[in-house]
Amino acid sequence: MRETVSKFINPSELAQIGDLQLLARTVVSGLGAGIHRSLHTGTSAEFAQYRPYTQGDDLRFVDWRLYGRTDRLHVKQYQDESNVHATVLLDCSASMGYGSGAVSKFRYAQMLAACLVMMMSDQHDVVGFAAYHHDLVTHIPARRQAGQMHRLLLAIDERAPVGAKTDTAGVLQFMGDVLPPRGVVVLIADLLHPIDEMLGHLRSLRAQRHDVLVLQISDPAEQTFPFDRSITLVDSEDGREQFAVPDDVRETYLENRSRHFETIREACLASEIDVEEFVCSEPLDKALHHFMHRRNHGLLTNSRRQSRGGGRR
Amino acid sequence: MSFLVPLFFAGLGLLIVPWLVHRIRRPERETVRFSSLMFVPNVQREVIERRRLQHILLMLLRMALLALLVLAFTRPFQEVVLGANVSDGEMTHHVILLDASLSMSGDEVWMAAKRQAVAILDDVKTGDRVGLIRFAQQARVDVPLTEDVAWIRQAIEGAHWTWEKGDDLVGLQAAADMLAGEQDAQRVVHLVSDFQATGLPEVETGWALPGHIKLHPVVIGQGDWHNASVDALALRPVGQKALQVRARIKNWQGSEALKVNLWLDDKMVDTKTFSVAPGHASQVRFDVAEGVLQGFVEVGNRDGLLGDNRQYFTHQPAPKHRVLVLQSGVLYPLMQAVVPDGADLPWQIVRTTNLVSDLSDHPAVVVAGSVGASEWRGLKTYVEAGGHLFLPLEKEADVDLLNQLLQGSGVQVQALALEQKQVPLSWVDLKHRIFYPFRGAQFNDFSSIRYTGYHRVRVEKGTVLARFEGDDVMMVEAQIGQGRVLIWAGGLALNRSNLARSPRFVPLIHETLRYLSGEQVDPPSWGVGDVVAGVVMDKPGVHQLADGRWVAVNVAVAESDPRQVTPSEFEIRMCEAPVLYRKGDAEAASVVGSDLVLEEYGYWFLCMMFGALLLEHGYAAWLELYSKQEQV
Repeated sequence: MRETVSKFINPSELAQIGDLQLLARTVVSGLGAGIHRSLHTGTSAEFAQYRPYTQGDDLRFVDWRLYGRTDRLHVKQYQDESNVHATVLLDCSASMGYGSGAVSKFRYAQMLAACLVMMMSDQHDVVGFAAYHHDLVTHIPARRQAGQMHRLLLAIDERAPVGAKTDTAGVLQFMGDVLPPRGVVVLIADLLHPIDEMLGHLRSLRAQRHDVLVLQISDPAEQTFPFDRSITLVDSEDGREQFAVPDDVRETYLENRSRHFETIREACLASEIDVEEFVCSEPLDKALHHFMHRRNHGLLTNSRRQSRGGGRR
Repeated sequence: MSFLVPLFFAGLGLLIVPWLVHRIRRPERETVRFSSLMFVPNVQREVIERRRLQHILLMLLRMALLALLVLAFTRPFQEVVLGANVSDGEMTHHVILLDASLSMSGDEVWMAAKRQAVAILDDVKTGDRVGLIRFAQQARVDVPLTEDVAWIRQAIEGAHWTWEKGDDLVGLQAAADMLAGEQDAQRVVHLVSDFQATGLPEVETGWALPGHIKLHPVVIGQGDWHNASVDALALRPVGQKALQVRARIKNWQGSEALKVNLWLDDKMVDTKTFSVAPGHASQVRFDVAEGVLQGFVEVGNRDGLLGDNRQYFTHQPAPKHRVLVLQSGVLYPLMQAVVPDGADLPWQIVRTTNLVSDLSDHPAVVVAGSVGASEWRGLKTYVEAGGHLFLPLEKEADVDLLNQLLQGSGVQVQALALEQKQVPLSWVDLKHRIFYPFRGAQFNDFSSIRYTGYHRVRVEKGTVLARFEGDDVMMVEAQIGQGRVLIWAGGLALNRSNLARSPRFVPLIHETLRYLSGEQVDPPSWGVGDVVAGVVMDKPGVHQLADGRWVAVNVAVAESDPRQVTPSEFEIRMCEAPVLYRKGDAEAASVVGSDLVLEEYGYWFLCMMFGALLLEHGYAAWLELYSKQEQV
């Protein structure tokens, strides 16, 4: 990556763009490649792999040069930028409304979701959207129809972090029931809830050959617990109050948090699920660029390579 | 319990400070909405409550600390009956301690003192015993303890002040001695005094009036009388035949315009008028002709204390001492030094080449050159009998004979040793009387005096007065019998040293002879109460002694100082169990016979405050450590 920091847009400036579509376009315009590659091989300019020739294969794809060298027939396969069913899940719980800076986690998540929707639409994917907190509040199934992207962006924009509880597991279970297999599921959430059940449903989605992306949204204050004076903390979801002396509890807090997300990361890695943390203070385009780079170069998981051609499962 | 300075209770307002500090520093209960508390460890309520209690306790401790400090400043006290725990007997023994020092000599002051002393008698009950002591520099028991009040009254009426300096310690000790044997009664010392500050001992003596004796201070006068005094007086020679009388006049308080008279032989010969601001002093000079003088300098103004207005002086030219110079050969520098042309020196030089048979007329003998064995024996007898010998060691000195003279003195002389180089003097004892005139910075460097040869002197007991560089002895004083020998190891010869050519030579020889000839420097004057030639000087003036000498006796300058101490200050200094008076010193002092005294407890509160301070520090430190260790 040869970009410089100055090239990126500050989230607080980005958030001032009222039109989500324009915002997403602004971010996505510089990113280039799509969010995913097709799981299916097809006709395109990008070579994918060789496969031994079987009866019925199109002779146009036989690599005669290879035949000359190996005396065996092989067929060239190309990656196809095909249109998959992608669904973006957005956590609308109240905890997402927290923000120590100019941009809350939810606004950041909105911008991220908009960008992803735009990127996948540009990739001619069929994109759907779902918003949830303790219940599913919005579900726009993926459809190939005019105005779908606009509808999605509108739905993303009109959501607010209001949920008194988060039920990610329930939503994932629902999606596993309704989504056709071999799609892309993007979960945008802060993951601040018990995770055992959620991980089970993530694994179920993977079992349905979905390409699952977990995009965790964090606030800088959550990462460092920067308070210096004794405070009474109020849980943004259930309103529970708790007295805390920051100097006393900081270490334990950071340990607990690190353990929580490490558990998620390890579980996702084991299930070949991409996990990426987005911090509200980071420029969105930079974070996305970074994420895309890591994903396209297999730095997140090796799921793409392993699942290619049906995977090992 | 009551309080001497209840105004300090206003300081209790300071108690709000710890509360404010704790309020400010209390963990803020600022409410912050946070995304989720799932990672925030739960602080148990007991821990919070415990911490709260701990901090409240710390705050209370700090408030108590301040309260104790305020209480200490309010000077809490309790009325106690002083004699209650001493004796249950009804009888009381009184000692009237009457300050008869010069400062009490003012007519009004002395009469007031006597009136107060008589007033004390009015409160004496039947069966009580009373004693009367007048004190100044000495204590005088005018009447021992007696039940005869009339006798006491009569003694008081006839009592007179003295010219002496007041010494409160002497008076109180005499009173304590008088009451020492009276165990079966309450004991009270009525101190009738002006409580002059100079009457207290200058240094801590370690003695205090025992706690079982009650002190009843009766303050006379308020120390506000006008007073000027002759503070110091000295006679200084001016030229060969004239003297100057210099007097320092101090205006303690009162009028600035002062008139000072000089009296000689009972005639006022000069008067000077000048102005001195109160609290300041000024010098006045009178020129008089040299001769036998007797007189005094007097402040002509009438003031509250006339006794200190005069200082007497006498002047008599001292008789010349005979100094024998035993000279063999020519010793030019010495003779030039001791017999300078036209100089009027305090000694009479007798030059001889042979030892005269009777040396007792000569307080000092100078031996310059070689002396025979028989003469050495004569000199030894002379010194052992109390004579003083000055021995500048020349080349021809017979060391063996000299050591026989010095036998037993701890000093031994060796033969003359010539040095390869000039050896300077490195040290002289400037504290010795011979070197007094050389103490000034421009005179005290003797390193310019150098020798190329000298006798080495071993000293075991004598007093070394000067040394060469390298630590050899140049000048030593040895005691032989009743007399002294002063040895100059380098001698005076011009060919071995530059001493005789030095400007220090003549003064040094003169001081040496003055020292050895035993010239006595009498003090300029004696004080009242001093014993001079076996006679106690009881009043100021010019007195003639039995030997015909005239001495000037003056009053103590300290008596002129009008500064007073309060009875409370006095008791703190002089009493084992000082008590402080609630109604103010002056008023309490006038309450004759009062048994109620007030014991203060402020010190206890101060001690408790310091204890609380230590406790607070320890507790705060422990609390901080505990908080850090506590896993919440």
